Amino acid sequence: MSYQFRLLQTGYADASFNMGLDMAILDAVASGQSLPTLRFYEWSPPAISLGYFQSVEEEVNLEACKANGDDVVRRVTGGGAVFHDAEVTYSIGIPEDHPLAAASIIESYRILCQGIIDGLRVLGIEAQFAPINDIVVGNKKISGNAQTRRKHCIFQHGTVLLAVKPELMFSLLKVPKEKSRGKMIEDIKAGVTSIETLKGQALRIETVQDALQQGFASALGLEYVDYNIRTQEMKSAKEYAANQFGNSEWTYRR
Amino acid sequence: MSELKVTIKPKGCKLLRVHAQVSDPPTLSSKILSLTVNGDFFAIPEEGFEKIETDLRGFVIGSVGEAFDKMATEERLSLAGISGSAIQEALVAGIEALNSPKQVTS
Repeated sequence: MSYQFRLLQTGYADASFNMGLDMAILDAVASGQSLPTLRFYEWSPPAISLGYFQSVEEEVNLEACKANGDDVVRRVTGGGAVFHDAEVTYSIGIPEDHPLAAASIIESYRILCQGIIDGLRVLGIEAQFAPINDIVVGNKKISGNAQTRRKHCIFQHGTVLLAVKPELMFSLLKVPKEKSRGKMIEDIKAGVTSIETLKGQALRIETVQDALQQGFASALGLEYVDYNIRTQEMKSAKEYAANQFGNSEWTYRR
Repeated sequence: MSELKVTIKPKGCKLLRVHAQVSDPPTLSSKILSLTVNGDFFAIPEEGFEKIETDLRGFVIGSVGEAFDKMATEERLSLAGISGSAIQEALVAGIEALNSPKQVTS
């Protein structure tokens, strides 16, 4: 069984636009104007994205982000704060009545994350799903994922780490007062891995994206038949960026 | 009115940062005046969770867990990394912290 999908590679953009385009794609998939869609994208400048239920004040060192020129954006999905820098980011949107859509959140993560796992296998990396929303190699996290359901669609986005930069990450994220920055950095080094670490060399983003495309296709039975973003989606993405994701009321709502 | 500010990781849950204003004196019988639960958990639809945060106003702390679970069922929330008992555990920890004798240092 194969499912017709759209495949997009939208390149580098700022955080507000990236989140806006995810929403615009969700709208287009929900309305049936676009096929279920797998998108790959990058962040410029690097950014911190916060989960829907997190507080900027509690999680982000705003002064450091500003000094570093990094964006801060709130996602429409739950989960934790992510530093988007040396990584491949993807999103996938499917209608809730699609055969790939599972009713339970964790089962749905398990199904969609299999695309990442198969993609990593293309690169020679054996990974496993780790509920609720992670993918690990051994006992080290290599991918985090976050999902929501809106407009009768399942929408998931996530990252695969190309490299780990815990010192930089914890200069941008606040450290819980009961833990030291050094301990947090140690914890990350002990609990997180990356493609660079596992392969012993940095891989090009395009190489990893190609592998993940193959992984999603094989794991989920996707047939890519459309590679185009619609004019209306770009317009809508810019509107979301301006009115929601770039709006401080949204960013600081919790 | 007393303010509770608790960061807690209940078993089986994500890290929760619970902020609440409760009626005095701060006990299990205190009423919730306001409640915000931040953290890296999942609650879908997200807006439904925010509605429950508001709707829990007026409930006593000792009944928050059960009330949350009932409302979550009514709102058809899908939850991962959070539960009513976890929120109640956080509130109880906040009450205990408020009522514990302050350490005196010389």
